[in-house]
Amino acid sequence: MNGVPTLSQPPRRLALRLIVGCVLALLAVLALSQRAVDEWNPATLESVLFWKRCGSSLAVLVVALSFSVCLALGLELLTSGFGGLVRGLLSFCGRVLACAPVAALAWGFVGLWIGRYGGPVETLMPAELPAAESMWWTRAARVLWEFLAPALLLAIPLSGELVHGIIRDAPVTNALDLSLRARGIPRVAAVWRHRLPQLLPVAGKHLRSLCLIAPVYFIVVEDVLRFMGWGAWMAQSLRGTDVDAILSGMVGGVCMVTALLGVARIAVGRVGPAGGKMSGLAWQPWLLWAMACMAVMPDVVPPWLVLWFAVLLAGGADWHQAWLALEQRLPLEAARVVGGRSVSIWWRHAARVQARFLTAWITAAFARAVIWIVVACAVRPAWVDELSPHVARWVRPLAISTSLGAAAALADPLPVLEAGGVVALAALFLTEVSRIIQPRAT
Amino acid sequence: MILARLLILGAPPLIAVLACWAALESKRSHERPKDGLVVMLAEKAPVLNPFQPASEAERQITELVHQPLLRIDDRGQLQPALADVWRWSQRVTCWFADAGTAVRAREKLQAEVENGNRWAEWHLISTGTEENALLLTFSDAVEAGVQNALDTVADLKPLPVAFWRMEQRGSLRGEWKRRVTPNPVSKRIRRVWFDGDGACEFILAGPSQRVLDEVRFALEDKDGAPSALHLLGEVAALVEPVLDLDIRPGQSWHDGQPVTAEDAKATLEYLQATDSPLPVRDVLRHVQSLEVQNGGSRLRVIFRRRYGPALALLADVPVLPAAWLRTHPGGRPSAFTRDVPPGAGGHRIASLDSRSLILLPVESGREMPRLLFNFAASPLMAQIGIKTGTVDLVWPARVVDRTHLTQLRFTPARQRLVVLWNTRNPVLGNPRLRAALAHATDLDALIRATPGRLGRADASVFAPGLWFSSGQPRLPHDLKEARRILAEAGWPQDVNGVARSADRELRFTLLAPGHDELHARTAEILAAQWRAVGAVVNVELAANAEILAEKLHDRRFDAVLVDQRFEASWDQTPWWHSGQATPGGTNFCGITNPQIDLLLEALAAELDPQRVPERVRDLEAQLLPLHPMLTLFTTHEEAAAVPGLPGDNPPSGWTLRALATPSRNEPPPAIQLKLRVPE
Repeated sequence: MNGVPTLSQPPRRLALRLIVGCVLALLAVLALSQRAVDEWNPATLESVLFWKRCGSSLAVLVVALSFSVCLALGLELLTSGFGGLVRGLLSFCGRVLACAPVAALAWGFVGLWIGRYGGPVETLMPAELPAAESMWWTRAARVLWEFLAPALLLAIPLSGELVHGIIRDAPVTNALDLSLRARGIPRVAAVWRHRLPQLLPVAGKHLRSLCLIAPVYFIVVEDVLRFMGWGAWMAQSLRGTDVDAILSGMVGGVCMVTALLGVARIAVGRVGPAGGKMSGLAWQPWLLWAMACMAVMPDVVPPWLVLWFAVLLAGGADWHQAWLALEQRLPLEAARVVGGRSVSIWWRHAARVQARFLTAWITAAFARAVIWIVVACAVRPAWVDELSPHVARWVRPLAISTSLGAAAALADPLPVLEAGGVVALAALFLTEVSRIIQPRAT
Repeated sequence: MILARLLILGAPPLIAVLACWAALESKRSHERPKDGLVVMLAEKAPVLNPFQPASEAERQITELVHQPLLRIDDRGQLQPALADVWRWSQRVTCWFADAGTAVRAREKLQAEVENGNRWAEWHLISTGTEENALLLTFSDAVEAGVQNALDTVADLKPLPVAFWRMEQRGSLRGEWKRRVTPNPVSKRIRRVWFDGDGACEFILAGPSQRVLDEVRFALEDKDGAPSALHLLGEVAALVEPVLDLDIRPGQSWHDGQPVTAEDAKATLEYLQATDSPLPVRDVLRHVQSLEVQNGGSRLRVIFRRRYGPALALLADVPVLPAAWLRTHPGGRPSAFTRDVPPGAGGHRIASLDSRSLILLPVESGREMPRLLFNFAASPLMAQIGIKTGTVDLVWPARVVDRTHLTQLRFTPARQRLVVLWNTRNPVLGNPRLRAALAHATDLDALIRATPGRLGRADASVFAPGLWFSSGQPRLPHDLKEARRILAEAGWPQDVNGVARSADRELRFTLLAPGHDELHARTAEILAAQWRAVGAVVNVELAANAEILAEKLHDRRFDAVLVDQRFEASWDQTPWWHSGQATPGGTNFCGITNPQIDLLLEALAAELDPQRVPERVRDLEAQLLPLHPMLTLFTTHEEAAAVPGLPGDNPPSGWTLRALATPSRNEPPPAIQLKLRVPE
C-alpha cells in the first residue's frame, strides 16, 4: 500500500493537525490555480448528494479497514506460536500485497470477475428491466455486493500492509511467554488476554497510518468500479481540473479521514507514546494534497516535482523520527567520554550507520514514489505523458483513460496485470532493499 | 476475551461468506428475464420523433410505439394497420349556368343510367347537385364511365373549368387568406391549392375575367409586388381522385382514447404544415382536401390529380393523436421529449430518460417481450453487458469486440450507392460503353475492399424487397466481354492499355462526395477496376454536399457516385422524365426518350398496386438497356446479438419489430388490397 510501513508514532491531536494541513493545502491549491479565497464556490459542500457520496465511501472504508485489521490481528495471533519462517513468509506475502498497484488489482478484478466468470459488479451493470417480482433478500444481496465488492478489493492491499506491519512490529511487545507459562496460564488465555492488548497499540498505529492513505487509494477503486462515492467525485474533479470540486473533495476527504480516525480510536484504543514534532509532518494525506496541487498547477511546472516533494517530506519526517531513536543507541557519548575526536567518533560509530540509513531512506522513498505515481496516473492518465518513456511504458496500461481502453482491459486483463506485476516487483524490490539495509535500534 | 476472539476471528470469514452469498445472489438476479429484451445503443437518447427519426434505431423504436395507416410488411407487401380498408374512387364536378340546369343535367343523367341499367357499367355510385354544380361519384378510379356521363350532359353546356396558377415573391398564402378570402368574389373560386408559400393554383368555372381582376387587385394594391398569373388549362369537368381509408374499429391510443379518422387527418395536416423533407410530402403536395366521414371512422383524401404512389407513400407514416398535435404545433424536437405523444403500436413507452427507455407490450396475452434500451452505451458497458449476459443486442456491433459474438444481424437496406452517368457527355453518351463499364465492375471485390456491412444491389431502378420490385440482375463481371464491347464500339485499347477512339482517349471524371470515407474509397476502387478495360478515370472529390449539389444541378459531371435513398413510391418521373432533363431538373442522367416518358407517366398515374409490377417491367424493359446508372451496393447497420436470441436474420434485413412480435407460423400473405364495392 504505502510500500514502506510507517516508522513513526502518530502525533497528538492528529485530527486537528489534519484540519490545519487541509487548510494549508486548500490555500496552496487556490494559490496554484491563481484564485483568491473568495472565488471558491463551496456550493458542493451544501449538497446532500455530496455528503451521501462521502457517507458511502466512508462505509466501504470502514468495512475494508475492519476486515483488514481483524485479518491481520487474527493471523498474527494464530501464528504467534509458529516459527520465524512461517511468520516471515506471511510478512513477505503481506509486503507483496502491499506493493500491488490498486489500479492493477481493480482492473484485474474487473477483467477476471466480469470478463472470465461473467460475475456482476452492481455499479458497472447496465440498466435492467424491472423484475416482475423482487424478493427482499435479492435487493439486500445487491446492495451488499455493491458495497462489499469495492471493500474487499481495497482490503487486499490494506490487509497486506497490516499483516506485514503488525508481524514486523510484534517483537516490540514484551515477550511474556515464559513468565505466563511458568504461571500455568493456558496458551489461549496468554494469547488473547496478554498478547492481544499489547498488539492493539501496534495495530492502532498502522491502522491510523492507513486511515490517511486508504481514501486516496479508494479513489482508484471507485473510479474503476464507477462506485458513486467520494472517490469517483474526486477522480472526475482531478481529471477535469475542476478547482471548486477539488477543493470540496479535499474538505470531504479530510472529514472522512477524521471520521475514520475516530472509529479507529473506538475500535483499537489510544496509541502511545506520541511521536515528536517532526513526525507530525509524516502524518498527513500527502498523496491527496499532492494530486490536488498537481491537477491545478500551471503547465510550465512539471507535476511530478510536487509528488516527489510530498514523498520526500512525508518520508523525511518519518525517517527523522526513526533516526532519533537509532541515534540514542549509538555509543557516541561513550566514545566522547573516552576522548575520541568528533570526526573520528562520527567515522567510527555513525558514518556507516548513517550511510545505510540514508540508502534505506532513498530506496524507501523510491518505492513509495513508484506506487504513488501509479495511483496518480490511474486517477489522471494525462500525467503519464509527463513521465520518462521507460517508466511510462509500464505505467500506461494501468492508466486507462477511455472506455475503449477499459473494454480492452475487460476483454483481456493480462496487459494490466503484467504492468501491475512489474510495478509491484519494482516496489517490492526497493522495499526489501530498504528493509535489509536499514539499521535497527535493537 | 470471547468478544475479541469472535470479532477478530469471526469478522473476516463472516464478511467473506456474506460477500460470496451476495455475489451469487446478485448474479442470479441479473439473469436475463425471459419476457424481456435488453438492447444497448451507442447513440444518445433519441428524440423519438416518429416523422423524422435521426437513426435507424430510432426509426425502429418508433415503429414499435406508433402505428401507420398502412404498413409495408417484411415481405414488401402493403398491409392494413390503423386503416383496415382502403379504396380509390373518383369525384366529378360539372358547373352549369344556373342551379336549374344542374338539376336538369342530373335528371337526364339518372334517366340515361337507369334506362340502360348502367350503374355498374359506368361505376357510378351517386349523383347530386349543389347550387349550380352537378356532383358525380364513381366507384372505380381507373375504368369509370366519366366520359359517358359527361357526354350525356354535354348538350346542357357545362361551364368550362379553368386552372390558373399565381406566383408571388412574398408570402402568397398569408396574403390570400387576409385579402382574397374575405372578398365576396372568392366564392366563385371553386378550389384553391397552395404550392409552397409563394404560389397557388385555383379553379374557376365559367366567365372568370372579373374574378381574376379582383384577385389580382386584392393582392397587388398594397405593396405593389407583381403577381404572375398563368392559365394552366381548361376542361369540361373537374375530376378528382378520392382515397377512402376506413379506420379499423376498436383501435385505441396508449392513453385509452379511441383512434379516429380525425387523428389521421390531423397528422397529415401537421405534416403538410411541416417543412421537413419527408417522402410523404410528395403525396401531400397533391392533396386537395382531407375530410372525416362516417362519424369519424373514415378519412377521405381528395387529390388534385391522379397520383398512384400515394398509397405506398402513405404507408409507414405514423399517426399521432389529434389532441396531441393540436397542443404541440410546429413540430419542434423538444415537444417529443417533454411530452411524449401516445402511440397506437404494440408497445407503449413506460419510461424514458436520457439513459434508458422501457417499452411494455400493450396486450399482455400475446407473448410480446418487454424492451429496454440503454443509450450512449460505451464499449465498456457493452462488453460488460455481453459478458454478464444482461444484454441481448448491441447496436451497432462495432461497439463490442467481435471475437466474442456469434451472431451479427443487419438492418434492412435504406439506400444504395449508384453511379449516375451523364448520358449527354461526349464519351459516356454511348450506352454500349456504359454497359462495358458495368461489365468491368467487380462488385464482390468492391464490397470486400470497402468498410461497413454492404449488400449486393440489383440493377433495378426501384427499391428492392417491395411487391413491385423487379430485381433485375446486374451485368456480370466479365472483363473479356467489356473489352469486346468497347472494341466493337470503336474503343480498342492502345499499347498503353488505354481505350482510344479515332479522336480521343476513354477518359472521364468520376465525381464523388469527399466527406465520406465509403464514397471516396469506392470511387478509388471503381477507377482502378475500370482502368483494367482502358478507361482513364480521374476521381474528383466534392468538398461538401453543397458543391456536389451545385455540380449536379448544372450537369457539370461525367459520372457521379451518389446515394440513392429507397422509397416505396413507384413514381420515377423526377429521375428519368425528359421534362426534368434540363439543368435544374432532377433527371441528372439526361435521359430523353418519349416512349420512356409515356411509360413513366402511366406508372405515376397507376392507382392499382396490383398492376404496378407489370408497368414496372415495361418501363425497365425500355430504361435499363440504356444503362443510365450503375448500381453498386446497399448499406446496412450491424447489430450484435448474443447467442440464443430468438428470430433469424432474413435476407431482407432484420428489424426490432421482428424481434418484438411473436413469430406465427403463417403462410406469406398475398397483397392485402381490399377494393370492395361501396355500400
